[in-house]
Amino acid sequence: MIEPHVHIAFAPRGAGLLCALFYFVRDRDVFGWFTGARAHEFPASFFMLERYFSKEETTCYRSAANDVYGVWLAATSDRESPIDPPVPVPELVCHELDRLQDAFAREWLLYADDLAHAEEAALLTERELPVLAVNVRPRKLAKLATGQPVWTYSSPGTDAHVIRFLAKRWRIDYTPD
Amino acid sequence: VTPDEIKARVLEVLGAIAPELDPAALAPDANLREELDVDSMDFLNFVIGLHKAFGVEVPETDYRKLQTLDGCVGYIAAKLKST
Repeated sequence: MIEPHVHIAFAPRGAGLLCALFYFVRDRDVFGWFTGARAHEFPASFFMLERYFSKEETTCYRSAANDVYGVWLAATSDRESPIDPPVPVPELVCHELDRLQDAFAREWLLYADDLAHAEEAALLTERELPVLAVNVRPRKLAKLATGQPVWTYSSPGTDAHVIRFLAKRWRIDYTPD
Repeated sequence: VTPDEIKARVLEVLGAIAPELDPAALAPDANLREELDVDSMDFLNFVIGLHKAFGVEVPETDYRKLQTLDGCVGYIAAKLKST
């Protein structure tokens, strides 16, 4: 059974969605997907933290594009290198990632090219929130803690260490506290 | 385990994923996903929570039986009885 964890970071004044990710743990490895702002773009990748829950060194892999079945890179804090096929993620996990990403993005995120965009974008505008290429769906905003300049949501059991580890290796601007 | 005990533990599991839950206000036949804005990720965590609380495995084909509080209580009671 998969126990997914979700983390969202949203800057209500200007930058909008900083980060949206989910992950789950399987044995020693962590698998997931993230998107977030980098300058004015919103790159997205699937990722794997190989041997994260072990005493051995963890290797971070991410998909080069938003395609779990495409090219994968080995990512360190200062460089990324394409890796030879096959992808490091087991095929069944690829299917799970693909399925979860679809549900997660549909339920949490509002894309500018979404058919329902205009109506929901208007709700964001009403609240004087930014409307960008990728946004948090208005009804999901109620889940975020709004006491800080960056609004956040972490589902119960989310391990902040996983997000910090990943944040040193991803190519989006968000750095968790 | 009585149905009331099952119900109380199901509500505890639900409360962990939906902290805004008011157990007294939740109708037994209300759709949990709609009533509590439980999304796919929350629901998977709910299933994991039920597994931890009751030791029952819930195959994906049975997820539809967990749409309401009454459904959850009946499903878990049947599972516990069969083990």
